[in-house]
Amino acid sequence: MFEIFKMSSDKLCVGRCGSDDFNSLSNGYLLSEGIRVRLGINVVHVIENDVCTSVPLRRVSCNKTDRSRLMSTPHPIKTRLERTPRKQRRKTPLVRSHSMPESLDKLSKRKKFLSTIASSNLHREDVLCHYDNDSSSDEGSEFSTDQISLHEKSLTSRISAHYLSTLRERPEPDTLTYAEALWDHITMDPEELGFRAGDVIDVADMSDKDWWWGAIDDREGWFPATFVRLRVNQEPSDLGLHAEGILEHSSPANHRISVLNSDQARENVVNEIINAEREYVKHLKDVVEGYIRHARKREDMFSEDRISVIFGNMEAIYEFSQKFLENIESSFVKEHPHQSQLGHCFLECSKEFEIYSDYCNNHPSASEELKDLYKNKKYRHFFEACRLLQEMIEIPLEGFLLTPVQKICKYPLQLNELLKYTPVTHPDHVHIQGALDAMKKIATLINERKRKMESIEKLAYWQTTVEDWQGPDLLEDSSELIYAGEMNKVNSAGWSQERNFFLFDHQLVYCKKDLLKKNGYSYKGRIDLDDCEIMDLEDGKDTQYNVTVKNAWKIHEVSREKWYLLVARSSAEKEKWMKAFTNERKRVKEDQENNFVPLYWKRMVLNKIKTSQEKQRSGGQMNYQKEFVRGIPSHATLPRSYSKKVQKKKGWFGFGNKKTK
Amino acid sequence: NHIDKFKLSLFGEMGVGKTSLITRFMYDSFDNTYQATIGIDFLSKTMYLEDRTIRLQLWDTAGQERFRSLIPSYIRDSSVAVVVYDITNANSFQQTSKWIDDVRTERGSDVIIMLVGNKTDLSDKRQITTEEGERKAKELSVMFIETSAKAGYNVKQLFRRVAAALPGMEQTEPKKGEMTEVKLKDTGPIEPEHKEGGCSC
Repeated sequence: MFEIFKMSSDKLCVGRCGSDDFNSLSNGYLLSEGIRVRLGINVVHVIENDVCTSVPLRRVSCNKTDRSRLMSTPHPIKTRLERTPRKQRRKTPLVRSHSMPESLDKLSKRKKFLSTIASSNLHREDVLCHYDNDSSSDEGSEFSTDQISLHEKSLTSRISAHYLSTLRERPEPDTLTYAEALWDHITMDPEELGFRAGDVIDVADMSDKDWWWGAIDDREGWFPATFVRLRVNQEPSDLGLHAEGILEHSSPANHRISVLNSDQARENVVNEIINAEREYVKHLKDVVEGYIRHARKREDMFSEDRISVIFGNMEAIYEFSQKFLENIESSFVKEHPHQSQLGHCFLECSKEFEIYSDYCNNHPSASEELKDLYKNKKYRHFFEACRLLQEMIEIPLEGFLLTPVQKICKYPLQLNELLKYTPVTHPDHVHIQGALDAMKKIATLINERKRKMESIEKLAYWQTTVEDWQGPDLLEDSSELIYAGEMNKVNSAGWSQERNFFLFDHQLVYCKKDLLKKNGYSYKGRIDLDDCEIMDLEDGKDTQYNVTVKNAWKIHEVSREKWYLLVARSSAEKEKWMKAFTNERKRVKEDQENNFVPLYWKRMVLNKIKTSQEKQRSGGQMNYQKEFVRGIPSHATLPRSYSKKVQKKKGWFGFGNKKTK
Repeated sequence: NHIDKFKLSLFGEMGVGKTSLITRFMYDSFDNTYQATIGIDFLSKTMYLEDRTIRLQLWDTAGQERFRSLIPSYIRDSSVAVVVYDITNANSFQQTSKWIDDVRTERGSDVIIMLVGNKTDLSDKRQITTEEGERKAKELSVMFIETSAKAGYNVKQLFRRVAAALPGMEQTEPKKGEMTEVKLKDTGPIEPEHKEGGCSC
């Protein structure tokens, strides 16, 4: 089944002929859309409604600018220089592999036919033919590609040219640069490499801008560079490449990217980084100037508080990003982009990127606030008017507000990509590596802080649900729940009391189940873990308390000279608690080293909770608590989105059965 | 000629092919040699369905897989969540439960979820059968499809099926004419109309 393309000045006709035999075209073919096509010499006659249009056959070599091309393939396809491959790695004549796409098989039949014509010195061009591998696609007429190629020289003369050039060239070590085909490249030219979209091509020569030399399995040849893209690797298997393979000379030869190839590739990556940064700064500018500025003028609609909830510290980010962009741009070497050294730009500002942390933490509140405002027509219109005035693309504000979150996670990807094309010999190599590590660290830090932030929010909420709370707020010392469960506490009189224990960093809080309220707790006490010893107890009689215990341990709070005897339900449970205590110390130490949770957050959270409690006094607390408890036993973390859910009325019910919600 | 817009986010472990699926789907609108896949902030594509035209905004979460705390920002407001795994990687398949769970937690039933088994071109390395994928999708009541972004197999179908499942025009957006009402210039206290939303500060 062939598809024929015809270009006229303003339209494109597509159809299929029902036969594999291209020859029959010369007799004319009725296409599915009622269009008849006849192949003439140098032209295709297209008969449509009895009107015959003759369309000159497109010759690749004489058709540099064809503006009427409507197809999705890149255009124009530039003339391929009459030259032979720079490198040839295989001295065998071109052999088409058995694994080649079906359509090419069929083409090769045509090749024989055509070469007969060619050798009899009949200059004849052929129109060819596109094989739609996704013909079930249905967005109107969609084509992935076409390629019409020219066959004018005799095969034999070309092949001999190949051999000559092979002799002249010194064999070079194998290099691996991969490109992925974007469009089918179907060709009759034996020097060209045919492929289908999606094929991966091993590119050997990119010295020419338009035509590259590459190989797929056993086949190699020229192909238009615009038909492919260099592989952008994000797969883990490839991430390791530069660590072990590419950059070490001692590594297998075929894991190295040649300097020549990487120059062009590096240029692309550098360009992409800079362009993306420009775009990004533009988006920030639009928000700052298009939204925030106008919002400030409307005090009746936007209090300063509201502005800071919605936009967070975006102005600070904008300011910083402008500076950062300037740095990058000044490091850009216009004449030789691949020589640009960008690593130091990241390294110099690495600390400043931390401002994204506040932004990311605030982002959920921003979304909530925005969602509320969008319910109000007045605000909806205001935002839309801002967008239109600023001539921004049609993305809701919410989308623009997400870009900083997106951006900070993308730097590691971009740097990783850049590093791949930065040879060790490049002066920027060390810095890029450093920048990559730094940006990864920042993204991790931001993520970790966000997690902690959510955690302290939950803690603060939880505390409000406990009756009779005494002493300092939980947040003053703690920021995370580590473990929780039911245990027995033996009091000084030797009585065993059932209590619920909650292990946070720095303290262990115990509560009594409130029988009146289902799943409610009342505060009973706490143990300061910074100042205590945990002592394992053998099963059997404890002389101090004069009781016989199993799966128990003691905690000695040194400063208050107080003792606690705790009994777990089972030995497995005890083991879990012991692990949790070790974990707690570890976490405390980590937090001290990293300063993950700045104090001012806690204040912020407390404020926020106060306001939101005033906002919705009714109902929420009990449910929160219920959920809090539900989340504990298995892994001692809470459903991440809990705190948000509290604010959503419909979220209060049916949490246990997510599917029915 | 109003066009409904929907936010579509892709989730899944590293290297399952999220970006590739997007790139493959977007091809028609690109004609650069070097395709920017990482740098682009906003990707959107208009789809012409039988009865209407919609616009999908595509959000790629590539690079953020490890930063789970930041992911909810994407889930929020997403009409469609495409959860991708690699059929040659059993772990990526197991992880989809967690991704789907995250989406459900945040969005409840207000979201269309599509489970996608990608990389069918690597059939010799397959670890997860089509049946396993189907079963999981059924259990979690989500849609299911297998694709190959590399070969272009089923990619358009994936997006079309999702698009077809999207709700119609019920949620009425403000009409264009209404938008002129708002004055942005600082002209003093205009519009003395009652505050609908009230100030929550």
